[in-house]
Amino acid sequence: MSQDDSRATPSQSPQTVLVVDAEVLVRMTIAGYLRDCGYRVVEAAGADEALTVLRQTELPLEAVLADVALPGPMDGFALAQWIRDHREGLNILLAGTPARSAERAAELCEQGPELARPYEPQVVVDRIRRLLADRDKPGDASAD
Amino acid sequence: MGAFAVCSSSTCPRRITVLVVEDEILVRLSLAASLRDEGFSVIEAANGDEAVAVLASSTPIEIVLTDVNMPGSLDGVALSRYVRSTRPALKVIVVSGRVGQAVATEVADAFVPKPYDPARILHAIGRLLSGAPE
Repeated sequence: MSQDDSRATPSQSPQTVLVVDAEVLVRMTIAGYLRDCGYRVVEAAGADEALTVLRQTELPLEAVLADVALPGPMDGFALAQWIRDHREGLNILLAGTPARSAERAAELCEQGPELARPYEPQVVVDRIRRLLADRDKPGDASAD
Repeated sequence: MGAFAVCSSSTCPRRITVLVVEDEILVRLSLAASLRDEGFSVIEAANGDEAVAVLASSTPIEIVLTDVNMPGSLDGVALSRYVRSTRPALKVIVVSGRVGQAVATEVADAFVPKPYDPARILHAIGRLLSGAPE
C-alpha cells in the first residue's frame, strides 16, 4: 500500500486515539495527520488532561499515543500503568527516545518497542492500524 | 451555519482554521468537536503559552477563540492583545464567564459569555467571517 493509499483509507466508523503530548506543535501535527487518516483524535496537553479524558468512560477510546517524557508528576510510563490498571484493553503506544525507555516501554506497551520522537507520522499511523487490527483479531484476546 | 457557508469546499483552497485556546480539556474537546462537525479546521491549545507557540509558527489561522482565565504567563486578555499586535488580521473571539463584554471587546472582535451554546460561537464566527455588524 502506498502512503497516499493508506492516508486515504478512513475507517468505516472512526476509531478514537487519545494523543498526549505537552509540545503543542508536535501534538498538533500528529493529531492532524491522524485525523487526515480517518481517526477521531482527542488531544491532551499532559497526563492530568489525559486522566480527565480517560475517566470519562462513556467517551469511546481505542488507543492512546503518549510521549514518555510528559512534564509533571505523571510521565508517560506512569500514565500507561494507570491505563493498564483502570482501562483494561485500551491500546497504548509510548513515544520517546529509545535509549531512555525501550525496556520499560516493552513491558508496558502491547506492541513491542515504543515509537521514536520526533514522530514520523506515517509510522505512527501504521503502528496504530496494526495495533487495532491485532486487537480485533478473533481469539487474540490480548495474549498477555 | 457551517464553515462552508462562508467559504465552500469548491471555491476555497482550504478550510477556515480556528485556534481554540481553553485550559479545561472537556470544554475544549467539546467545542473543538462542534467546530469540526461544522467543517472548520481546529487547532487546540491548552493555554496562552501554547497559543503563542502556534501563532509563532507558520500555521495558517483565521480566528482565535480564547478563554480568559487560564494558567501560564498569558491569560486570554493578554493573548488577545498579543494577537492584535502581532497578527492584526486575525479575528479574536473572547469567551468568558468572568470578564465583561466591555473589557473583552476592547481587545477582541467578539465576546461570547460563558456558559455558552456552541451555536453562539458559530454565530460569532460566521459574523466575523462575513464582516456583518454585531
